[in-house]
Amino acid sequence: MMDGLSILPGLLKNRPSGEKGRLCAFVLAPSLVVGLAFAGGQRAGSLFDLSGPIAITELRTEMSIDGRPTPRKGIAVILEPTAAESHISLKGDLQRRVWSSLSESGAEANRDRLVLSRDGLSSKTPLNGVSSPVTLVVEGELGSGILIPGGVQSIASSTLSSRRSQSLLSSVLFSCVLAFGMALASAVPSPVPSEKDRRNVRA
Amino acid sequence: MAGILVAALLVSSLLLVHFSMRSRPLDAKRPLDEDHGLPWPEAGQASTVFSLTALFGAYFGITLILGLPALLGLAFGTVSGLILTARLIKKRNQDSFEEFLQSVLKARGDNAIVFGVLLAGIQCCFAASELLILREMARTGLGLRGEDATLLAMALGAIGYFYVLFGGYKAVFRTDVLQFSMIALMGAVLLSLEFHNATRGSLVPPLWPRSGYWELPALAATGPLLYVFQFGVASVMGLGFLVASPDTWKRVFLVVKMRRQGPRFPMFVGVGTAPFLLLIPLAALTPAIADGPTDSGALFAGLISSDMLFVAAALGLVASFLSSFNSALLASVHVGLLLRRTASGVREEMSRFHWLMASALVSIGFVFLALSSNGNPYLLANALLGAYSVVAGVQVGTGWKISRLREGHLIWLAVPSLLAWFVYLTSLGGLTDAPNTYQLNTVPVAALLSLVLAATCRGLVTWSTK
Repeated sequence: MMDGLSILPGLLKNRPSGEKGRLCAFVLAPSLVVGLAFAGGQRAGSLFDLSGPIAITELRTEMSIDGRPTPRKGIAVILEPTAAESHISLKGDLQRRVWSSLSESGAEANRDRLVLSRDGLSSKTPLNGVSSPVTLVVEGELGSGILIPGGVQSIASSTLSSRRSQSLLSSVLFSCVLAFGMALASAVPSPVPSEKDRRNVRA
Repeated sequence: MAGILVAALLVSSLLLVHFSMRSRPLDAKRPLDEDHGLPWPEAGQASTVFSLTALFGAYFGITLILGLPALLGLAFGTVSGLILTARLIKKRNQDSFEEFLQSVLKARGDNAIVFGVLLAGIQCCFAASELLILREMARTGLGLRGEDATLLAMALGAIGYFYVLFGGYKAVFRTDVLQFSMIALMGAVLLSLEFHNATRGSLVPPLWPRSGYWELPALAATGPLLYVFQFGVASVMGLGFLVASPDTWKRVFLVVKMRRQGPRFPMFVGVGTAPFLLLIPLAALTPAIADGPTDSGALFAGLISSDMLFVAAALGLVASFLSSFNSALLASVHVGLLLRRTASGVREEMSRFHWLMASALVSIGFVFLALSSNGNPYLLANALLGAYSVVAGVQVGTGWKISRLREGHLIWLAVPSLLAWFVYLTSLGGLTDAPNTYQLNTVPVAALLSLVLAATCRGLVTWSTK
């Protein structure tokens, strides 16, 4: 981000006022507001990795065969096969177990990467020998946040959202990138030639 | 499916703007002095009246809580606003919309700056309010996470901004046609669903007002007199919204001045008010809400109950947002451009247009991002109600000629009125926590403010001419 900001003075330097205005309107102002909206989300992933490396949903009830619901707290976690480390804190003093989509050999190979303790679930992805998302179900009440290297990520930013809505967001972002491309093409001025370049052209 | 269709809508609009601007780019001297080649102002009017602030905000709330008398009042006020604007445009007989807008902004001393800044500020805040409500709808209605909904709203805002930046009025009017068809599609789907449900006798739209809203101690709790009062308040609101909206003036101007063939104005009024019909099935689809703080997620849960509804709602939401956001953004920039021109004229205004566009977007973006963490997305729209009342009161009181007011009068009218409005809103308490059905009770106060200002301006004008 700071690298991007540092190129601004050079971009605007020695430009006539009209060109500066054009550059601000077509590139800088929209980049600023969309960039702030993006940065406000404190996403763990990269630009188009909207879901992040981990998605959580809270489990609250279980249903019996006759359809009667009873409260039972737990979490379902989906781990993406991207490089990430996290610790999901869990409340309650239960004899925890984790139920996963890993095969027996896969679970065995990842004993040090998926660690269940009394205070939560630690994971280090990608898991050995696994190239697809892994689903885990753990009993217990969700704690305050997800510990990641260098900070704490809020649960709200990692909750599972509907794929239908995510596709809507992706399509809007795709159109936004297209609009930015059109704006860049029509706004970014040609580089100001240096005196040396001018002399070379004359020669 | 919804994602692909929304992308198709946005990309086709971008390409439409791109190719139409390649054949006729914006005039470098006067980029917004464009009255020819703007298709179907009716479509834009219909989709702009039904902005998100109206469709999923104030007008929707009024229909849900106050029923038919107030809805009819809104429609009546809207029609009156359109007729009033058309009569004024005919009377002034200016050749271009810019001349008309300049005549509206013409005033003694700093009155022009106060009025222009107020108009442009209202439009910028209106655009920010559209972003806030879009974010809320995306979060609660379409099921996005908070930060994703913020990003969706801002990205859509940027796309709308690019339409305006590339093509000015031409881009807005051309994309309005496409957006109107999307809103019409949403309306058709909702109407067919309502018809389907009505045959099973399950859903009935609210027809009569609830008690506790828009009541006067002197009037009976129910009965014709109360309904007349509610009709009157809603009329003032509908009228005030149009009288303070330069984008509506532009559309009326085009219909009245540029298209003389056929019964164009009645058609314009018809199309412009027809979307009020959409509120009836929307209100019927919405589950009954309790008085007081409201969960807007539950309010719009019915909209995503089926795939077809989700697609129609997503397309309608995006189209409705883009239409009103673009119109408000362009109106604020146009007013700003004319204010700058009055202060110092230049031969070519393109650079000013670019600076003003950038400033408007950054201002709108900052207001949106600052308020997006607030619990009540309708707070800004509620605050704007007072600002609209001030402009509408001044416009009506001076007969759309603020030049009739003496120098310095306007600032002494506008600033205390706005302060009084904000003090009143603050005194209500709890508005920042969550949307509240009792927010609707601020509408009669805003209507009263508008009437008091209109009477005061009328008095000042009479006194000045003596």
